[in-house]
This record gives sequence, structure tokens and C-alpha cells, in this order.
Amino acid sequence: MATTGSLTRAPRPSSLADVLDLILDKGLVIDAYVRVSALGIEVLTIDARIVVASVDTYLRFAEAVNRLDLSTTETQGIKGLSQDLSRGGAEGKTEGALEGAKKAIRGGGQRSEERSGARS
Amino acid sequence: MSKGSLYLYAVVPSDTGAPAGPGLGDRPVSVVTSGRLGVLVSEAGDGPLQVSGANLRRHQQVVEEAHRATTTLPFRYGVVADSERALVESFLEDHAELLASKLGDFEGTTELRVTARYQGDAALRELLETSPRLRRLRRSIAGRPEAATYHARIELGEEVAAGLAGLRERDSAACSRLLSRRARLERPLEPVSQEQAFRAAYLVARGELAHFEAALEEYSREQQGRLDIELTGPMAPWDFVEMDRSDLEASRRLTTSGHKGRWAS
Repeated sequence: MATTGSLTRAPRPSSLADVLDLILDKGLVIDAYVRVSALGIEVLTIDARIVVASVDTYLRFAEAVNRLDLSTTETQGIKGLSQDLSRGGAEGKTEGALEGAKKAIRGGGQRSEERSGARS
Repeated sequence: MSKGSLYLYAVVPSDTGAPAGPGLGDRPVSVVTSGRLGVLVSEAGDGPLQVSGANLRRHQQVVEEAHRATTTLPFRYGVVADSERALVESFLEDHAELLASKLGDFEGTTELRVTARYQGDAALRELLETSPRLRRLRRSIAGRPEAATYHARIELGEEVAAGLAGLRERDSAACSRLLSRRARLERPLEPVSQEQAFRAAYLVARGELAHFEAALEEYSREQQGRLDIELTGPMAPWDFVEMDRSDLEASRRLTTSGHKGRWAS
């Protein structure tokens, strides 16, 4: 991985979440003779989605905004906020990412349904 | 000829050599061919596959090793053919024209993924600075007990979510304007975390890679302090190879006269 300015380069997806997104959800898939034969594969594929609209999300956004300090003379709150905001991103970088993704999904969501509907 | 079921990695041109790296379960990878087409396979073994990090990464490694040397149409993880004969007769022969044409489409190309994340609180600050309504909602909550502001906080959060969606859309469109000129195909991808601004996959001619990267570097410099941008690849065209069932059915009608009756839909 190399960085130029704010551009980071990676030869291939490295976090498990990205690998899952690529390899469980993309690529050729054919029915009948050539079958998908993996335990729990559908559950994982559908779970690895993000659903934006949920009350928890709204409350988290509100909390982040409330703690945001616009005057920049007080520093209180900013540190906590950036920790909040970076948490999801950091999870995306680690092996624990799948759990993070699953948590983010709760609440169902149009997108999951669309995707699984499109597949059937 | 292998009698057991085969685990499939990718469709490749038939003159492709087997990748040196091992496949799932450390089994050797070989190439099953028919005409101009080949498929990278390893013996599937008994029992269902496990979805494990090690297996997923192994699948990825086999495909990417092949992709560095040749054109690949990667299979999704977990695809197994009942036998070598089924693979040749019911997949490679029945879909010969479609697969050959797809291999031709992807020849000399590679996939790059671009992921952008807002740095720290950059996005929230922008939203607050540009939205009087957000600032007003924020003031109405400040200093009051949580229980008294539940609905106001949800309203504020909704407003932030809507603002973020708009910001993401504008940033994504701006980046796309720069990069799509350097790419054969572009596909927006769903963000996988709240902090992501946008994600997109690009299919780029290998000869255009340097130009594509230069355009992205310029964009990252413009966005410094605001967006972190990650470029992943070059890699196999995972995001572009999708063939849906109607493609396959159409291809089957073209290449076979009469139904063999084994194709469950």
C-alpha cells in the first residue's frame, strides 16, 4: 500500500468486508450444473449491506452534530466526534469488518430487498 | 479426466497455463478446456464449502494470479460443477459463443475500484456551514436533557442524513466526470460504511492505466483535507462480468437446438 497526498493505493481489496463484497457478491454465477455450494452463503451476502435509514443512525448523526464545535476556540467534543466517525472506517480495515457490516445493516432495508429480489 | 465435482475460479482463454499458487484446501489448480475456452478449477472435495476468510482469500489469489497474465472472467465464490463433463458440455459448449465474446470484451482491460471517505468531521462541518436549518435545529437541542429532545434529535439526524446523501451525490458525480473519460465502463457501488463518501468500479484498458491514475491523483490533491481516496487494483473484472439468467438462456437457445431437459430454471 502506497500513499501520494490523500490517495492510497492497494493492489487488491484487503479488508474482509471488501473481499466479501467482491467475491461473494460479484463475479459469474450460473445455476443448474454449476451450483453455488457453500454453507450460509445467501445469509452472508445479504447481510453484508449497509442500510442508511434507521433511527439509530439519525440519533448518532444528531449526537455527532451536537458535539461538533463550530467556533474552533473550544476543542471540547471534536475529539469524540472524529472517533465516532472514524470507527466505522476503521472497522472496514480489519478482520472484524464483517461484524461491523452486519451491525450496520440491522433494520432491513430497501436495498437488501432490491438486491435479493433482483437475484431471484 | 476428473470424475468428482470441480470448484471453479475463472473462465480464461484455453491457452492459459494453470496458476502456480494452490487452490482451496491447498489442492492444485488446473485448466479444463473446450475449444478456445478454459476454466481454472480444482477438485471440490466432499461436503459443502465453508465461507471462511482463508477460502475467500484463496479464491481471490488464484483469480488474481491468472488475471496478471491473461483475460479472466472470475466466478463468484462457491461455484461448483458436478463433474468435468458437466462443466464442458453444459457450460463451456452450451455457452461457447457468449463466453468467447465476453472474453473478447474484457481482453486488455483491468478493474480498478475507487473508494472515497470523508476525513474526520469534514462532511458534518460542511453541512452545518451551508444549512441554516441544521444550525437552528442544533441550537434548539443544545443544553436540554436528552429525554426532552428525542424527536428534535431524530429530526436533526434525518436532516444530516439527507444532507450527507446530497453531498455524496455531488462528490461522486464530480469524481465520475473526471474518471469516466479514462475508463471503458463505470459502475457505482453501494457504500459499505457510513463514513464512505462514494465507491465506484472502473474497467480500464491496461494502456490507459497511467492516465486514469494521474486523473485520480489530481482529484485527490484537490480534495486534500476533505476526502481520503483509495485506489484498489488492478484486479480481475469482478464488478463487470455479471451475466444474468436471461443472458445465459438466450445463449443456450443460440447454441443448442432442442433442450436437453437438464437445465432447471
